[in-house]
Amino acid sequence: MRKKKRKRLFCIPLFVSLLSFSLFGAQDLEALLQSLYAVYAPCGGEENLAGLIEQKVLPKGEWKKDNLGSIYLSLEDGEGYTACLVPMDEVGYIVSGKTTDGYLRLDRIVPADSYNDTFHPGHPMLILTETSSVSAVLALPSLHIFPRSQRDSLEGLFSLENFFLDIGASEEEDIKKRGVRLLDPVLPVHDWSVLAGKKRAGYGLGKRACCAVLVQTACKTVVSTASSDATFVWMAQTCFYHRSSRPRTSIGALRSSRILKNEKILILEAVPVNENADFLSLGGGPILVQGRQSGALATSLQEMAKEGNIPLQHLDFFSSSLTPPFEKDSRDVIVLGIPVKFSGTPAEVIDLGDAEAMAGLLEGFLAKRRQP
Amino acid sequence: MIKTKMVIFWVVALLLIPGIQAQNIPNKSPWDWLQELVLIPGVSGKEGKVADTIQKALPPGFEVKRDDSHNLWFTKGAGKPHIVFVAHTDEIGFLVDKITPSGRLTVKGRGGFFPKMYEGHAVHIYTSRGRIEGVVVPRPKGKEDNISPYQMSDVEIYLGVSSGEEALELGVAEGDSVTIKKKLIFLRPDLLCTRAVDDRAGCAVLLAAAWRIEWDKVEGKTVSFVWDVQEEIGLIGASRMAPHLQGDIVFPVDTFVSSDSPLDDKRFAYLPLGAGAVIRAIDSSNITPYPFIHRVRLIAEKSAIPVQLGNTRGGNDGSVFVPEGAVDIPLSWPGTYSHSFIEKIHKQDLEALTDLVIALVRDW
Repeated sequence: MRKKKRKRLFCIPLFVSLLSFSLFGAQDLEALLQSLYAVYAPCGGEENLAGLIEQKVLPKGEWKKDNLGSIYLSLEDGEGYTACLVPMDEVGYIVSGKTTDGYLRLDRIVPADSYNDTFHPGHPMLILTETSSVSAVLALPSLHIFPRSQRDSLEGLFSLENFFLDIGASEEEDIKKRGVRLLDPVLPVHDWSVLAGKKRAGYGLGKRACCAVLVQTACKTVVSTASSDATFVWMAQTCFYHRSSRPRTSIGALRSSRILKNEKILILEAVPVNENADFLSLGGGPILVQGRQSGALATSLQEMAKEGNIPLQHLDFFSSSLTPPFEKDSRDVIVLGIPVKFSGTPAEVIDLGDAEAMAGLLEGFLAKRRQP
Repeated sequence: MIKTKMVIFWVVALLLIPGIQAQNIPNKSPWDWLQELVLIPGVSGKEGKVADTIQKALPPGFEVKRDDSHNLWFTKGAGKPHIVFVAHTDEIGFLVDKITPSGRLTVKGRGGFFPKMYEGHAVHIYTSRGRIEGVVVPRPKGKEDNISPYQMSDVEIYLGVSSGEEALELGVAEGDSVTIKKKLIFLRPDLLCTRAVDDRAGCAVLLAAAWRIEWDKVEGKTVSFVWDVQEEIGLIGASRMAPHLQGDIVFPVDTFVSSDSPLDDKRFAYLPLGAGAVIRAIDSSNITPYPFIHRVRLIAEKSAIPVQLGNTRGGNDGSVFVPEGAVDIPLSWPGTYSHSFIEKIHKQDLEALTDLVIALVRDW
């Protein structure tokens, strides 16, 4: 009897937390984002994040997966109307070689440029092995050993060609013992920073915030109605481009475009905010990017923002690799962006207020769509 | 009733006695102390918190002295020679220089390092109201290829505010110290990478040794342990302590910058990590006379302590004791990635160094 009571008591907080997550998601967006941010999703290795997303969406819907790793949640009449898509993956590296003295050489997983590379020497990295993860640091020259006259030029060593990953091994055999193999993904360690107000910073945080918004929206949509017509997609391999497509097209988005039949495509994406541009701002609300083919979808979102008093910023053009495959099929495509400062660096800054506004807008839009 | 009271008395007493013992003899290794000490902020000129921690952690009954710049020391024994061990509590970092009208912070560097390491990374700012977080503004994409190296004057910290007034509301003030967000990165259980190993490892060694040395058996010599300040900006704390202490032998305990790393030339300063403590015989500030090196080696050998011998670059606190008449014998551990956020140290080297300090106090 006592045991049963204890079991029940144990279950109550769990039930309450699940219920509050489902019903009062907006308050928990930061917690949700933090939990998603704790998971690494290298391009081509998004399965852990995909698994967590499937767990988070309560109650679970009917999930499908394509063979690139993207996951699809289609509600009752999902194929009829809007598909909301978001990228899951992040830019990183792979183990490309081993040295006899125990260091690892790296290569980029995706065509990230030298800009990204320069931020990582002298910082922690994480190797995702088949069974676990291995802590590492990216070597840099020892300051004292070089004469002062040479120190300025040492910054030239902060490049991919000089990347040596240190896992504390002293020979190749040690590397093997640690379970590290060629092609294992290597990523900068995620570091969640709390800035003033609702500003938060971290590597790849913009995209992950979009992921969290879609998880929350999916939860609310699934919970709050018996019938809906949305499809939610968390895309894998969006950092990787289809070789022969022009303009530059994400392979993950291209695959999704072949699978989805929806007429309306709403893509959530991180949109860089230029330091010197005064027309877009962090904290100014989500950014509605109206492409050449934006039509009724953009109008609906604008009306919804107005009705709900949700701040919305506007951008005429944004070079996205996610939209081209959908635009080719003459669908109604728009990008709803989260403004991101210092995009592509370990210090990407977002404003949680923008993410909350984006979630509110999306939830309102999908709810309105369901009205008879 | 009386019986119950007696039982309560004995239960309480038995619970307290081990507690009291534990308080007097903390079972902490230098490796444990290191992990605690590196996380305390102590940019040159702002070492107060590190000194506080060490002072509180010293064995009870020690007559500890502290000056207004937070140099901290104690002296035991009497007579000649006077042997001084010194480690520095400060670390490289920034001090807030100005708060801009747009609410960003410009900084002044404290010590020598690559400012580039900070670009695009999160930092901690230590205000009078507590610690806050910021990020160092990265240069825009596309510009890094054709511009000069990232300089100290390029460093600007974004706090998430857009005006100077908002920054002030966060409690930030000019002169506040700034460090990278420190992390303990264990490459293996016995191999740690983190910020401020230089010279919290030295501080940890002296702290652990202070607990382990049988001070009542120290006879025919005076021994001082010093935790000094502002080494990174010109051996300032040591310069103040040297004329005051008038040591005969000084053992600065600080990093031996080793080239045991992939981007450094192993023809110079190559001492492997994990092979033992180091006698830093020659560096940029001192040459230790060979007979004294020999004596240290003999003492180490007697206690089977692994010791390496080498020369490297960089100055040491002991060098400012030399004009006062002391012999400077720097002791170290081999460390790589100097003055970075991933300074690397091997547990075995730290333990050997602690054993060496204890042996020198006993046998010198």
